[in-house]
Amino acid sequence: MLRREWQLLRREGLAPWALVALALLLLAAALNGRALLGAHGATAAALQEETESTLKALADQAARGVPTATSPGAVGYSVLAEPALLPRAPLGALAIGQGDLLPFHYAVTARGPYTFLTRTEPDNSLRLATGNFDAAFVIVWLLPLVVIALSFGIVSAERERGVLAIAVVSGTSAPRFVVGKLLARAALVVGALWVAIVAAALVAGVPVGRPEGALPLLAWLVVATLYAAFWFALALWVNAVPRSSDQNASLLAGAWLVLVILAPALTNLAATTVFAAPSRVELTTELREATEAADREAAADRDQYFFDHPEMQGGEMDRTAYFQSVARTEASISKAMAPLLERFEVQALRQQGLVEVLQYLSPATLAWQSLTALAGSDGARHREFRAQAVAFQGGWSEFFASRLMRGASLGPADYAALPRFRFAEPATASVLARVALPLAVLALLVALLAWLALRRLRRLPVT
Amino acid sequence: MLETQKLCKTYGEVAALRDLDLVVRPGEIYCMLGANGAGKTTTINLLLGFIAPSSGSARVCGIDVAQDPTGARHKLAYIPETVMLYGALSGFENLQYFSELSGHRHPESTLRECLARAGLQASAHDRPLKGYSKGMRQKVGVAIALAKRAEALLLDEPTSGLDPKASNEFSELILALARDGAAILMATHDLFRAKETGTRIGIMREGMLRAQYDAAAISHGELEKAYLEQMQG
Repeated sequence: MLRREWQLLRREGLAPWALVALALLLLAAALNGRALLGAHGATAAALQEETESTLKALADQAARGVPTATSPGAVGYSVLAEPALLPRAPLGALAIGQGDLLPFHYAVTARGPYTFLTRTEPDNSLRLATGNFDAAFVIVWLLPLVVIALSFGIVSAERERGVLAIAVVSGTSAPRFVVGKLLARAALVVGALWVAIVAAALVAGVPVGRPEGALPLLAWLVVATLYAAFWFALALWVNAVPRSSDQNASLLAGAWLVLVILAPALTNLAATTVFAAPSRVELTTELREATEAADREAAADRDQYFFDHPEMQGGEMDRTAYFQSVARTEASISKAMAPLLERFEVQALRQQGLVEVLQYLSPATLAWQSLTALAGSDGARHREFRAQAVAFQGGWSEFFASRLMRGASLGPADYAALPRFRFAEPATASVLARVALPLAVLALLVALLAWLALRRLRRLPVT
Repeated sequence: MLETQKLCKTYGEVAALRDLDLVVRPGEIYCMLGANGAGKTTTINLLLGFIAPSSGSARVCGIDVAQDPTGARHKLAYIPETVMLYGALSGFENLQYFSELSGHRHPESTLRECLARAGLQASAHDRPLKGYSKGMRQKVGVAIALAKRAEALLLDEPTSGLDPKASNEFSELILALARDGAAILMATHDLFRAKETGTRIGIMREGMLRAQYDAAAISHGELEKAYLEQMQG
């Protein structure tokens, strides 16, 4: 059946072109993803290089007793920033996801974590409709169109050209004939898809020979297969009612519009409306007010300093006292901003929670969430990165603040002991566990649609 | 052999077929005449097992169609009014496809012989079916029946739309199949073709078999007159 069906599809002309176009689009998308991540990689490398060079220079200067390099306040609050970098995930180039919306690095200084203030978003399924041209987009958006083109008349066209009746008289049953044809077409599409995805992974630089690349890639193939199976099952279910091929094509195109375009957009809208996060204007206003309040405190500090040290009147505060004042100002700003940031984080988590529930409304969202999670470009990995960066910032700040407050100087040994940021990648098993339920639901949907279609097909008139 | 006993099919209040008793023996061509909606296609669909009877029974070579439709279809071949098949495949490939569906894996030479016996020129065997005339496609339908070695044939207005030459060729083919022992039931509007091809002729109206004639015992004129009388009620 597979050979015959391929022969038929090849002669009819559409399928080979559709499959070749899908494969080429996947390759082009992989190249696009690779280019984007390449730019990120170059930025990250430049930041790291600059930091290493600054550190080396500061350590040398500290050894020579240069005041700026020995002052924990000057180094921690003005000179040195540790780049907290989110490394490229093995399959990152295949699904850019939130990758170009959310920062992939933070400049960690001794100042508070409010400096990371960037808008975090729930996994934005609207990206499906407007999104990046990456392999996940091609699979979630365009693969259904190929499946629909190859299956919208799987029963109706056969009935219209009288083939179904002759096939049934030839000795097969209508469900068996139709399902056989559909499975043959599905095998062709999935086979081509697998080859194209693996080729795209190679083009994108995925380490397919190593477990950290191979395992998620394998899971990607499972997601793509289940997603294609959903559209084939839907086409079968739509075809199992006697209708014309035109009507079936319109119904399936409508389903594509609703499930791929509208449902993700509405999911995103619902999440951001129901759990609205503080607006950027609100965040900026709060930050300005907190800064002004802290500045007033700092001014009072300085007045107190000159009151306590009348001999310094008309001169400058000493470096340590100045930066101790800065540290207090920063602590004050951080304290003032903490409730708002927490509110922001809580709302972001609630939004994400709602998206994770609403994703079950659309197989397109399920597939997209799974593909981006496996590629490490979803919100969860970024939230983990942010949490690690915030925790690291606390340690980094403490390193300088403790030395500053006790009036200690920095020496080469302190530079050698500086904490460094290394992102601890979530375990592959935990990522796989996160996508297990969406995949199970997708598989269940496929089974349910197939079962309903087969029930209907048994009663389907063949003429 | 094709056989129906008190075969009825109703759709709600409407009787599409009423108490049809019919026997078509091996080697016999039964031509069923009647206007649209007379019950010809319903009879064929009941014998094919495409629809279930409301009462009565239909048998193909002794197999009750309602009880064992697959077994009954195993003995049957069916040629609809328009044999479309797969336009992108050649006549030979279509024959191969449907033979394989029947569970037969004939060698190429056998299939080409079937096409030749069905009257399809060798030069057309490997051309895409979409370039075939209706008559040529009907011949592929006959070749499918030949390859299947069907014991009974159901033809639903097979000569409709064929030019006289093609129609005549088709009749010759049907006669050859009957000579080989097939029981053939042909629904048609074509009185001339029925008289020329059929062994027996039945006239249906409003789901009932109103009259039957021995084709050899009735002239063209008498058949036309009888048909018109039956149509006028």
